[in-house]
Amino acid sequence: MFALIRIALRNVTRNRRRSLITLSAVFLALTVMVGVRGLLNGLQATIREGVVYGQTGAVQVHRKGFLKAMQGAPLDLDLPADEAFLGKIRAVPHVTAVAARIPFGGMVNHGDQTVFSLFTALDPVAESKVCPQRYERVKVGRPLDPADPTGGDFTTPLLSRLGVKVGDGVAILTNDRDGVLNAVDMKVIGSFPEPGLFAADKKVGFIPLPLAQELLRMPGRATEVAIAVDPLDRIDEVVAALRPVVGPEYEVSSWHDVAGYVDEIVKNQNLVLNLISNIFLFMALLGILNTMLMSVRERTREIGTMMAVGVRRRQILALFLLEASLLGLVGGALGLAAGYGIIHHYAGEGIVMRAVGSTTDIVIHPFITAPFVARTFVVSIVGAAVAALLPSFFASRLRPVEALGSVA
Amino acid sequence: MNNLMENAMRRSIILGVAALLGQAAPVAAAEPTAAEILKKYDDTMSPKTFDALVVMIAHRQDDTTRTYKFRVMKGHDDKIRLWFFEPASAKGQEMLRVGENMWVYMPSLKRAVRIASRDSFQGGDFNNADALRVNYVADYTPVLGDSGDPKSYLLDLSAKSKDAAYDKVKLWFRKGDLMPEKAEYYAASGKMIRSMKFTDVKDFRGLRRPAHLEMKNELAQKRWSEMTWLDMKLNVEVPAQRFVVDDLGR
Repeated sequence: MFALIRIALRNVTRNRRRSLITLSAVFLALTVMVGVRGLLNGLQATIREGVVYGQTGAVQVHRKGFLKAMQGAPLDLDLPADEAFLGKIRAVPHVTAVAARIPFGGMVNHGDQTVFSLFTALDPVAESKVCPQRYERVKVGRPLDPADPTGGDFTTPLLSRLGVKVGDGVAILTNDRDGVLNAVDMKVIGSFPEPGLFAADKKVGFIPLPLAQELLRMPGRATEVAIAVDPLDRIDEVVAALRPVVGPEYEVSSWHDVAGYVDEIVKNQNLVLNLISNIFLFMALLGILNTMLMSVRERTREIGTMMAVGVRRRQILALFLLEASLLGLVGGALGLAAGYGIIHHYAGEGIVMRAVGSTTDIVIHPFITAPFVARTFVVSIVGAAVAALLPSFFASRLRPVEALGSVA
Repeated sequence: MNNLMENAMRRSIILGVAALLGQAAPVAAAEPTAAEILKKYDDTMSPKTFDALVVMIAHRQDDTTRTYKFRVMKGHDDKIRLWFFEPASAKGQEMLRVGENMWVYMPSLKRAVRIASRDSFQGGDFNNADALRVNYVADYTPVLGDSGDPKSYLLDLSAKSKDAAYDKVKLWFRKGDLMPEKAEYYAASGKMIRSMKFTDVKDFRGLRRPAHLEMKNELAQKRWSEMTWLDMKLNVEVPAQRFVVDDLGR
């Protein structure tokens, strides 16, 4: 067997130029596969974290039926925002923080301008632990602050519609839980360009929870509880543990349920990536097929000689398969190394990108996982062998006498 | 001979046509035009000046109701002002409409805030322009449609501007006294968003009008609101200074 490997190695190095070209094809394919996968991993992680740590939290609790009626941001499907209820949730293992919220629609007024917008009432302290990225998005001024009970943060599109700057006063108008119109005065203490990734509505404001409870005339109540989970892969466990804790009149959902579009986006990205990767791999393997076909044709006399001195057909087959696998192995290893090098280079500082239609940059830290590297490596070696199957079979089926007489 | 016959024929045709016209003419005179019907609708629902007491009950999805009581006063030039008495949380709130501009006075802000005509009126199914309804003739272009019922007229209204309460309205009127019977309200897309029934025609000091309006929300099941006119005084004194923004809250 070792002898066979040695011969295979020698054969591969015999036609250096051709082997080099084949190797580069495999190398390039693998570099692209790994690089794009790494980039996409980073992008998907950024999206996931942006949603979990910037919008939804890991897990949410609502009154039953709230998520279905979410569009109308119903206020009557409410829950207690007191320590008795929130404390029970916080006591569940792996729950690190709990924040009560109220999403609601209403109007912002300044002078003669009144603009419809979407608000989320947030607990200024707890929210910073559940969704810290929300606070990092505030570019001008400062995020919600318990020391400023009437201070709110608003998106820049909303503020520019109103002609308002950070530091100015605005009034928030909305219908309270009973439908009666109510209003409060507020101060704009901060602004952020966008409410979050994939936010359909750009006119959004964040309001301190106690002020919103007064505005909506629902003291001590909220409609949503956002929960931080650490480590994040324990979400299913936390969801299962929470259900008996909160009782049957509440629904417990993971961020996958609340922001199902994220999983959908990731799935579609992976679909496209796999298609592209497979095309690259297929081209590289065609290169190997071609190389081996040439090789068999050129070495017909040699194969005849080998057979004449007693080398078995099985061994001939194995020899050619080995040669192809060697190309796959070396090209694959180099390609993986190069791809990994590129990813490693960008992993630290990250790649700054801007999504279409967005005004905020996102930073992507590409990475790849060990199972992906291992799988890709195996695919490149086995793929090369499979591509060489037909030429190798031809070689092993040659008749020694005719092969010896070949002039090719 | 030929000439005579021709003349006779011509005369009889002219006579026949005249007879036909003579028959048709009185009927045509009795049929009101679209503009006349709409004018009558304005006179019925929003006479020149008035001072009225209205109760609105909003029926919500969860089968609960919310009751509002308010006073509406209409001054000259289609200005209209509204004071809330009930519920306690709305007490002190006031509204004013001057032309297409609307304000709500919020006691918690101690000032008036501009509101949009198409926003919901106190979370119910009427919008602000419905509650502060003044002049459909000014807001809509009417066309007579086929009501499908010999006893009623149908008016198709299209809004002249975005400030009108709705983009398109279909209004049915009873023939004879031209009392409004029902209405359908449409978004620009053509989707029906509200429908209304006018019932309980009452005499308010000489003005006959529906005292009960039922507005059904066609976008949400089980949501509707009703307004009942408890009293309506006509030709009251309406001091002009009551109809300016600065007077709100006083």
